[in-house]
Amino acid sequence: MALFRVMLRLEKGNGIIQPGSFTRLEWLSPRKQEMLQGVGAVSEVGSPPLAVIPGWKTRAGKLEEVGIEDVVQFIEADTAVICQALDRQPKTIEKYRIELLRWMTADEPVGG
Amino acid sequence: MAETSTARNACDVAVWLDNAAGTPVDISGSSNQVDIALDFKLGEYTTFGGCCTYRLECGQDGTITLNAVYTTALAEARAELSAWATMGCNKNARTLSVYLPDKNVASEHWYGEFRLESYNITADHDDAGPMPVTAVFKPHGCVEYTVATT
Repeated sequence: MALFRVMLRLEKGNGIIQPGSFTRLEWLSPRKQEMLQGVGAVSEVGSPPLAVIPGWKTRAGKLEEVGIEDVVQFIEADTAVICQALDRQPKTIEKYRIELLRWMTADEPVGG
Repeated sequence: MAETSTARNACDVAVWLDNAAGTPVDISGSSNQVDIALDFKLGEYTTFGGCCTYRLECGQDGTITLNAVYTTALAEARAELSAWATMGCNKNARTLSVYLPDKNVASEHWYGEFRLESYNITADHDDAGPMPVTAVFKPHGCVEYTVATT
């Protein structure tokens, strides 16, 4: 799962994602993501390390031991592995994932 | 300098115009030229002792000119424009969209609410081609620009 910075006003359904926002473009195929990159509408950015996310320093340390160091790795990793590393239930891991996704994206509505 | 490999022509440009019910209608198949012109209002000044001219900017405007061919079917450019042009004094603004170079992912999407400024049909008996139809639109608000993702 790649993370993109929006460089030009980008349509999403009836809404618009404003330049400067982050998006995963999860509704588009990799080929279409490439097309948008090709015209400079989005630019792929590196996934931020978990350790820089506010409130994640301790978790980041534990997750590093199982090879999970950044946000994308966390979102894509096997839930069971994370549960064991953090000693948390799957439900909590899902909450963490939602928290990280919200932190990474900032879609804005039409009219901006 | 490397030669570009991304030049595109206007063969697949898409133009959509709202009909009277506010439903977008694809009028690309009955139009053949569209011109998008943006104007930025500049005010200039010079000062005592200075030799250079400075400019401030404030406000913008635009014009879209559409050339269409005279056709007789409904839901095509001529029919939509004729209906709009003859609505009386309160024609209201309609949404006009232009997709460059085509209506696809990563295409430019220019759009906005536009009022019809002029509408012209030229009938020339010496011309064997379809009668040309020209409409000039002025924005009622901003001319918007986005990148299409569908």
